[in-house]
Amino acid sequence: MLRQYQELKRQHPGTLLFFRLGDFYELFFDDAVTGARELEITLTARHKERGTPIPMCGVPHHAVSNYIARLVRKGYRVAVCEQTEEPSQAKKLVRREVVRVITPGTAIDPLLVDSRECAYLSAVCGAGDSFGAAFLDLSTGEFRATEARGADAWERVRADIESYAPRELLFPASLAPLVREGFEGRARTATLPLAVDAEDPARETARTSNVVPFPRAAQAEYSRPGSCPTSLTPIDDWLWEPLSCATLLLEQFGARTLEGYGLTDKTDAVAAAGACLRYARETQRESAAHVNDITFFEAQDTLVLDAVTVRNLELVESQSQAGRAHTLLGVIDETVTGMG
Amino acid sequence: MKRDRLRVLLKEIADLERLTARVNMNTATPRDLAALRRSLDQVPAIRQALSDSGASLLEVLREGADELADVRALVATAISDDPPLNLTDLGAIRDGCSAELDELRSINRDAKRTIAALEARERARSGIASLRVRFNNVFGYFIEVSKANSARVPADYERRQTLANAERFSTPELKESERRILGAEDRMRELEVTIYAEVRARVAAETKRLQATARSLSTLDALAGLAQVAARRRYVKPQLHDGDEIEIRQGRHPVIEASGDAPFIPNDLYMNNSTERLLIITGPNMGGKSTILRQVALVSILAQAGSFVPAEGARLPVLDRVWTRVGASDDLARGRSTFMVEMTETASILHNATPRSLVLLDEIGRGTSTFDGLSIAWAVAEYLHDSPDHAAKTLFATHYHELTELAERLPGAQNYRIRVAEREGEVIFLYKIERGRASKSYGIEVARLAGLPPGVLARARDVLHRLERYELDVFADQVDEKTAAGGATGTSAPSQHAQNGGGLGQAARRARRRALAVQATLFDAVNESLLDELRGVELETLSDEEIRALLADIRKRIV
Repeated sequence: MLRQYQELKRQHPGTLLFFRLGDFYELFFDDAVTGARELEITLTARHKERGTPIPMCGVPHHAVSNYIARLVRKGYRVAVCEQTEEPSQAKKLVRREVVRVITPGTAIDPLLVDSRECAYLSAVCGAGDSFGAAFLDLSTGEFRATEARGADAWERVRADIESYAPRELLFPASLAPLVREGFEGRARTATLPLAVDAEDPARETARTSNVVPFPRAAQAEYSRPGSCPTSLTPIDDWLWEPLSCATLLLEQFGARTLEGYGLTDKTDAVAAAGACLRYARETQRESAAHVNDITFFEAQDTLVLDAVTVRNLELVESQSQAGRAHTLLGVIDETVTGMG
Repeated sequence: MKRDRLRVLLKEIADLERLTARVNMNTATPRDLAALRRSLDQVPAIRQALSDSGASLLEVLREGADELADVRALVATAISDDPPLNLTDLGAIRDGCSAELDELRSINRDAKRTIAALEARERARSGIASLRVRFNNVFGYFIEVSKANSARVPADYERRQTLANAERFSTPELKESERRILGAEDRMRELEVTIYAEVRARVAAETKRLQATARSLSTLDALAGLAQVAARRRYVKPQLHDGDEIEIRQGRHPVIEASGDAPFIPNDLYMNNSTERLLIITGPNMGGKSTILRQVALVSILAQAGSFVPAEGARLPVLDRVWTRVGASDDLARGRSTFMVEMTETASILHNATPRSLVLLDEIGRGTSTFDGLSIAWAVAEYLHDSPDHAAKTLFATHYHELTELAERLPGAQNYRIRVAEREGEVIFLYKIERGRASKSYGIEVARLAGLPPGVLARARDVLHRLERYELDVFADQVDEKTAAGGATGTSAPSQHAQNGGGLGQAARRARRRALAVQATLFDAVNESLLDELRGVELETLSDEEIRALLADIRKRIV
């Protein structure tokens, strides 16, 4: 059974693996240590009698979504492994598979997505004087992309990303220095130290090689009270290839050309959008068919309010921590549905 | 009222966007589908309520809100009204949806009835009134008898389990019933899962229509919400135009107005890109400068978001961006000093603001020394006024009274002040702006309001008095145009001052006087260094002419 665990763990590096064992989900080894600490649950051990105890902790299956939500809020990625055949029918060991990976940017569980806020997964790519970014709210299917050209392209795209305040930001591994400099120390942002290992054995399993081993030491950075931080997630460069990204988008939208979406020649925007979509589909193990449209936008089309201004004018968050009531949004929000 | 009725209907609508997403991602629960049906139940009434609005936007939204009668009917026939959270708990599928399921349920009910009957019979047979048939996941159905009564059980009972104060038994008849119940439940679970998956898939197939309805309803909710605010808080419809003027009549700050108990004091404001593009607002702290700045921005933002605005009337241009440099938002946690933050934000404004932008500058230059701060504030204001590419409409609140000189120099700049009334030595803030410049800053008054001890206040008044007199008596007549314009302290570039001539000259003079009075010891030190220099001069090596030049130079540098 532990061999099965090790195999699944190897396929999903960078995640806390919730391993279904009967009525419980168990965590083992380092995951157990992290999980027990973060969830404040008891750490026990397996194989104590054999002299090589394996750290272990577990949560009952009916309450698992609460525990997962708490971990994801703290910035962890959680892989959920289920028993995929009836125990009564299994000959020896029950077959188990990871059915979904929940990351900060791809969570759609109502426990993780407040009804009045958006939860964007964002991706950025580009170089020199051309950068593109995409924003996907998997919980609603809203999908937007932008691209900036010129000397200040990076600055402009960076400002866009800041204003969307995504839960998770994907970027090509080679862009790591720029992204880390651009978002380090920003409000709502915490850095996931880059740990892309070119020789990572997980590289062979292409589906998951883009998920980076999660650094345990970096946890403190995630706990900014009151706001949800942005997790930074580097993804291998070869997954940002514009042509394959375009193909993926076309297939998703059931379209023949991206022209109608305003994405002609916007290779960086297309690559970013493709990366977002691929990441969402791979972690969720679903086709996400409700993501069936994308809107290209440019900052010129709208009234631009940078993050500093949004803070200064107390549009959505009060500076004195007095709560939502003392913000413009608090005053004008008389809507009655979560969508409104 | 129609809006109220609409909002009551909308309240019943679930978050259809997210619900649709969960349906597509295969994480929708039976309760999600029940909520979908309840939401769709409202749509016909909502469409009805919109039917004769006469507003083209509402008509578009009405058209967009698809009743999805087929989806509603599908869910209504298949999913029960109050399904369990988890599909495996059984009961998610409505009776009458599947004949096989109905039959299994009836078998199940019969078997349970059999068990209830069995319980009554066994009680009678054994004479044990507390005998009960119970169920748990591990042992299934069993007969439980308390320890005290366990000796009285009939001989055909098979012992299954012994607890601290009870014994559990089974009988062949009970086992048979159990087999039928559990068998039926397994099959029911299978069936429910299958039916549910099919319903879910058919709902998912209508994703696009669901999304369109969701979009219409959410837009409707947002509009109804804004309308509600406008009605409740007496907002008016702003007039957006292609020109450059901002004209707000009796504007109010939406948030302060909503949270305060006291009535909010409204203000008029007018700006354009020619004669009124840089408004310099001086006045006491706490007098409402920052409120007015923010108020203008918030009114503009609301208007551009499609809302009515808190005012009696407003004519507004379409802005491309609102910039703010407000207050001293310290960023110590991230290791940047107040001043550095301030300058970084200011730099960004100067590089990127356009004539279509609105810029709010509140107390810029506060994070550094008086002279540095004043110089930077002056240059920033001038740049925003003069630069053709970056001449944004700017509201500049400042406690540097010297900056009021700017308004007299620059054609597009105007002075405004916060009105203050003084009664019996006490200052009353009127929260009204008017043209003109403030005479003093009332810092001590604010300190009084903040509760500084009377002794400290008295001493502060005393010191202020002396400083003002000192300034007048000692420096007023001595500082002439030339030395002032020369920037004698060396903290600002002389050439800059010279370019600006009289206006800045006067301002600098006044600032310098004030600074001199306060920082007398600093200037003693400057003079001291001159003396040192003088002591170090080797007179023998210099020609008469050089000595004359040296003297002239030193005289110029004495402060």
